[in-house]
Amino acid sequence: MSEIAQTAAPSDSTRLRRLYVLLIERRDVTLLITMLLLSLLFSRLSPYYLTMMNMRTLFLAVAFNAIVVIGITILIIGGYNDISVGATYGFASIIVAMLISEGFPTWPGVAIGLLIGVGIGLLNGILVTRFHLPAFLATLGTMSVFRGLIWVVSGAHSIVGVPQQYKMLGQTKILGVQLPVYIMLVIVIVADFMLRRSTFLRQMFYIGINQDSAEAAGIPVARVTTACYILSGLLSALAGILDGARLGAVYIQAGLGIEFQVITASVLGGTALAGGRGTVFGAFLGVVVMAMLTNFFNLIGVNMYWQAVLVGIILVLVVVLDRLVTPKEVR
Amino acid sequence: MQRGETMNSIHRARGGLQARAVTALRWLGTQEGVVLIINVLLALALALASPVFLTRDNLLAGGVAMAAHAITSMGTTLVLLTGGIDLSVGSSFGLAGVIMAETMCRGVPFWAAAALGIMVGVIIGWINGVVITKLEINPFIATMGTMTMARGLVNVMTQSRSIRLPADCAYLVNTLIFGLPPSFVLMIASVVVTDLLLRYWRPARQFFYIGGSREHARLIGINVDRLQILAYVLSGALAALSGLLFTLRSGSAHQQAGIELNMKVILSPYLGGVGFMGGGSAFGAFLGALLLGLIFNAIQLLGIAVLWQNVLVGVLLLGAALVGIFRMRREMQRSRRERRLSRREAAIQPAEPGG
Repeated sequence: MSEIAQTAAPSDSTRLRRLYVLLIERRDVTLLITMLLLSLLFSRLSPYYLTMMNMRTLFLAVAFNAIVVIGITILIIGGYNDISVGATYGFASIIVAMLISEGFPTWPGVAIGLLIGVGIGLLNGILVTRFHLPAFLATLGTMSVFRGLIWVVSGAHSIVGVPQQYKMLGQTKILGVQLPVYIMLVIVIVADFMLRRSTFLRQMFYIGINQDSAEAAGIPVARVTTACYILSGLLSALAGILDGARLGAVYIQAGLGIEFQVITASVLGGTALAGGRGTVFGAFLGVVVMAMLTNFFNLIGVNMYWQAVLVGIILVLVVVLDRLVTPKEVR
Repeated sequence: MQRGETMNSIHRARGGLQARAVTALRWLGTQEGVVLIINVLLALALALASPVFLTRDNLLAGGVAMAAHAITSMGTTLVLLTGGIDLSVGSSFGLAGVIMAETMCRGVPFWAAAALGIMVGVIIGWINGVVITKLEINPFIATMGTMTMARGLVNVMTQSRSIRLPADCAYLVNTLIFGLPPSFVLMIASVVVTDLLLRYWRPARQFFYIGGSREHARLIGINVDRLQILAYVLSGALAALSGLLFTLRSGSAHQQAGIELNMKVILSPYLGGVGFMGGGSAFGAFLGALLLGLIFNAIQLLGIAVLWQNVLVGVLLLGAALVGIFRMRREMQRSRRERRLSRREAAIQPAEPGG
């Protein structure tokens, strides 16, 4: 589309095309509109949709995935991946639950859980930067190790019944909405701002577009990457700890399958799998839209198993559409 | 020595026993060779540590247990060789078994049900292949999607129960071919067939080119899309086949079938030298599967908690990956050194006709 060739005033078709490009590029806008339309649709289809209780369930479901999706989005932007987020989620959660159940004080226990997340993130970072393992492979290995360790550490028992002080973290309600939701909102807003403004995080975009050029330009690729893996681990651990607090229990399967859900949500929200493109807000909206769908399916009583099939179909559709619909300019 | 000659090439040119010994020794230094040595050592250690190891029962049982991931690994190897990845094998494994069980319970004869099961794998593989080649979706995401969909279907169809096969199927598993259980025989057969295919069948050999560089393969004239779809179809079919065998062996189709298969099936080829960048052999993948089988057998025999299995698999994966990376680095350093040496030689000796 050469500007020089367009001497006449933009015609309607060009304006339409520009609008199209805008909608695709600003995925957040499109998702926001989708969200509103879906809300309208769902509220028509079910009288229970817009109730306070349903909304609260929805926000809560969003909260945990939204915290995790931030970390993974940043990594995908850098051209990496992190499929160990679910394992970190579950492992930190169960360690904290076990410690606190045995009488360990709450806040230090939570701190240990967060440290575990940092540790796993650090391990991932080292594997990817120092040992140059492909991100998929490294995090697949870490995922396997820590998923397995969940079984070993817990002796295959779920932890049911945690002390009240820990539960408070997840169940306190302010204005009728649980604490984790507020925590999530704060994190999302801060993260979105940081990704847009902070020089450190923005470097991930360059790393994602071309790692060698980024390195040549003087970006400390290893340091930035490791930091982002640590962030991802930290956020996953936080989400897991909050989940355990909210439920009042930690099951062995905690966090199972989350990695796929958040990757789908992130791609839905405009994050390019090849790296170099994406926003926290978009990923957040992706999580919201997916949670809305799940919430609605639960409401109208769709079989839990069919839901999984639908999620898989949605994943493929989303990625395919993303590929087909992105015009050459944005690609 | 003349320019370009090394002790190795002199031996090789002379032919005969010395050459073959040298080639064999060099092969032992490769990933496959290392895995073979580790396998032998591990087997020896196990034989010493446990009196049960070398019994016919244990070996057959171990072989049958290994068959699931060994057969599927052959398919995954094909996909890995083309530079892709297939996360949906576990779900194809499970779904094929479920479909076969369901249809058999409705009175469909065994052969038809089995054929249907394999078709399931073929279809899933075909979907993977098309989505990845024609729509150019990242293989990781695409196979993750099919994996979730197929697993979801398994869940729907089993509703968390197991589907029992009609009792008259028991004879199928107990029929011994050459005195060995069918899983065992099919495992050996699939390894041999895959290895031979990769060595002598032209389309299979083209997998290597595709894995090396898709663009270059396309420029050479290889039909990249069709071959990649073939790779995924074969992967799905083999996963389905081992799913059928597993279902027959256990007498029922479970909902959980195939869930830990993914890790083992990626790990086996990787241990055996099939890298993510393409390159490797089916035999190597088998050696990797064998190593895993030995380790799991060891866990059982030595009474190590089964809970540690997953952890072990993850640690092995990372270990294998690290070793792979180190080898790659050493290869690069060695080739850099060789290039430097040959450049120096060229400077000293101007090229003469006839060397």
